[in-house]
Amino acid sequence: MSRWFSVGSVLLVLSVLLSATVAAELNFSAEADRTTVGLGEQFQLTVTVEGTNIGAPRPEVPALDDFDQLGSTSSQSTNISFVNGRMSQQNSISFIYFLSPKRVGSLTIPPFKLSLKGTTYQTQPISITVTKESQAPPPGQQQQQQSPFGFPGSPEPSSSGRGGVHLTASTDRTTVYQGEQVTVTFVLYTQAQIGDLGVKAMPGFTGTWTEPLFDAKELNWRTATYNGQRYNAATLKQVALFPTQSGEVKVDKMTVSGQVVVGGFIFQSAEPFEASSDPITINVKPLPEAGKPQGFSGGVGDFKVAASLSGDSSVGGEPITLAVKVTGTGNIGLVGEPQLAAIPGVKVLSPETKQNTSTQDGRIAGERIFNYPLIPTADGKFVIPEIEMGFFNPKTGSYYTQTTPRLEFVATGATGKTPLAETETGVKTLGTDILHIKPGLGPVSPIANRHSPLANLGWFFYPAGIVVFGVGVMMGRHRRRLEQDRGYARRSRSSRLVKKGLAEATRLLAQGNEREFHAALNRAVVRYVGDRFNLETSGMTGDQIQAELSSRNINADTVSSLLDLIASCDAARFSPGMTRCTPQETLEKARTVLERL
Amino acid sequence: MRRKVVQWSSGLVVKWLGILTFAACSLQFAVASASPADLFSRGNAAYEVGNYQQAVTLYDSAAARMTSAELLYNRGDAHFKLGEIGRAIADYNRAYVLKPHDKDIGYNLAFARQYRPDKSLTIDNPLMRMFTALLCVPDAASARVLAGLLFFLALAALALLLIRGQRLFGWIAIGLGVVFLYCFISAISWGEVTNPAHAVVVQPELTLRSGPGPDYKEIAVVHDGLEVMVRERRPDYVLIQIPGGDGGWVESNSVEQIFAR
Repeated sequence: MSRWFSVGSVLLVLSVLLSATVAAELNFSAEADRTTVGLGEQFQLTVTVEGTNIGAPRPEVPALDDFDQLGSTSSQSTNISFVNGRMSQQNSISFIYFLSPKRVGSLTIPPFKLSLKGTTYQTQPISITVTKESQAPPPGQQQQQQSPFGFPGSPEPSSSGRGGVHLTASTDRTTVYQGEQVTVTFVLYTQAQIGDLGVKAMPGFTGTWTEPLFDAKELNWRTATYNGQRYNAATLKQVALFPTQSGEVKVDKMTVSGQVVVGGFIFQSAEPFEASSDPITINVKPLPEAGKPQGFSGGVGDFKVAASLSGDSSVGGEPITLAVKVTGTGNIGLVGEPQLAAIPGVKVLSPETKQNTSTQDGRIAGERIFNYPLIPTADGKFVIPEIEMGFFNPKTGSYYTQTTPRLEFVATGATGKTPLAETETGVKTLGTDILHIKPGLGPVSPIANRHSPLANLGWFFYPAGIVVFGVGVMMGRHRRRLEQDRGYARRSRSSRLVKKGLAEATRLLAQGNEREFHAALNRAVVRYVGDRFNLETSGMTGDQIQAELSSRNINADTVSSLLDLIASCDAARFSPGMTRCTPQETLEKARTVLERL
Repeated sequence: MRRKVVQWSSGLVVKWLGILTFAACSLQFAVASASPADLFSRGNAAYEVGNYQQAVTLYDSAAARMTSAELLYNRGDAHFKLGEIGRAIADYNRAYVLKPHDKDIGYNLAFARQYRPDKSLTIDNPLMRMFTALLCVPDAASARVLAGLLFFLALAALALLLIRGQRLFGWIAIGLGVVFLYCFISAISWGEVTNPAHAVVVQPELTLRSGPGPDYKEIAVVHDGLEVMVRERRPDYVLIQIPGGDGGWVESNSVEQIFAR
């Protein structure tokens, strides 16, 4: 029995603990102070997050298209308790939104959402009835509702300055050089007690590099005079601006909103307010072009430059770091990398930039370090030449330069060859260099000399070779045909042989041997006809020759002249007195007939 | 009076023009009258005393009138001593084409390449190196002329074979044809080496841009001595391709063409 009791009691304790854990996890709710409001009137929506160890969550505001958001504020309370030696932190955060409906009718405020530890919570939607008539309670009633403990909002927040709250923005100077520091300070002046304060709009600083100097974590009040009256003043924000362009740079307005406590010692109420600073215009002068040094890299201020190497030797091509450090006050964040001259045998990689800034008497100071990895690609001693950096001093309105000293390091084994060290033989390699110049000119081939006409001789041979080959082809073909085609062979040699025959006849005529002349002439002509037309003419009669030539479409006159010639030659040979023509005429006639054939 | 002043002015101008022309001619004559060999010797003398800039000027004058491997090699040395790695590499390359068997030229070319900030990623292939060495037995000009001559002789032998019908000419033609093919491939190989598109960066640092102008986007930064290929030419800009395939536009005078057309 006791055993069952003990088990039951343990289960009971566990279930109670479990339910308590679940119940205590998170409470997320939304509540409107009124559900019926007049058109354009303001009402208050409070979204509350309650839970244990929930940190500082922020709910997701849904789209409130039917409402104007007039402002918002938040309040937080924390209750720390120790239970059985364990600390538990109970948080309650209220987000208060001041809304005003845009149209008449039944409107709905959609659920607010909150994501926490992987779980999404949401509130219930709230219906708001909007009427044309004003639903606001009369002032007297409102006053009565205000208890000493409550701070309900007034119908609309007060504009800048109303209720004795003012926000001012001021600069330490209005005309600066590009890159010179301008300090902007935002101060809140109030004659009333500030109940709650939040920043509604942060100022924008277009065209500048900005470094924060001061951001108020709490309001430290001091007494100050504003417009001839005594006020409590607190600095909210202070920033250092460095214009990155010339011309006019605008500092946008900053807006804060919150609640001021109004009323007497006992009956106090909270009234929302909103205060904005006036925008400021800063005139930015461009940096002068005259006297701008070669190595100017955008630094405006008072700077010093130092350079150092991470070591004095590199083994096996290991990189060495060259650190160029710029220190001083000014636009340290806008100082560009220095220009390094190329170092033969060393590959300079893009630098890695590090920066630390601090504040010295309200001025931005610090250091900017450019770390260049240097990779030696050859062995030897390398010199890093002086690095010159130019800066602009806005106080004197002139440029100045800072130069680092020369640095040296030795690289060994960068090329994977013998390191510059003592070898086993005792030979100490100190360095390598190119081979020395040659003392004299060597023989220059005329074909290699581009100033020589023979330089392009090679191109001549190609067309010449093709021509020679073409001639060879034609001659080869002629030779084969001579061997294979008897008619072609006879025709080919006919001209040569007839010339020879005519020459022989002429020679005989010159010797006065007319009979032999006619015989030789007859032989040459008949042989030519035989060779020319591939005929066996030796035993042919005149009629046979005529028939053969006619069948080859030779002109009848030519054939007739030929036969006359043969006949006249025969007559002269066998009947010398019967000839009508002289031997010269016969020779001329023979030439004419042969040409016509 | 006015006329007199004008006459006097014209006379003065003519006089000064005469003096200037005479001075220019004298200077030109002094350089022009010296033989290339003399200019080479004077360049060597300037180099020996460390006056590398003057040595380069004298070698330039000599190179305008003669082609010599030794002259280009020495000018490469002078450029190297001036820290002009790119120009040195260009000259060593030109000298190598004239005398591929000169080991000094090969050594200095490799040495200068080691000094480049940008390293080439090409992997050394022994088989390819052997093949290239085999093709580079005759120098570029000899390979070119020998290929032409052997082509002519091989075709002439073929022609004789056709005309005379003797087989001997056929064998001679085959032999000459084989030697011609070797020389022809060698000439093509040299043609690739001496491609006019080969250029070298001659500025310490050079920014490649996406178009032919200073306002285009920056693509890459290369350094002195990097050997590149020129892919397109415009009046002031050239499109270069760097090893690895990337390319960009640079000013024409920032790269030097190694071999003329």
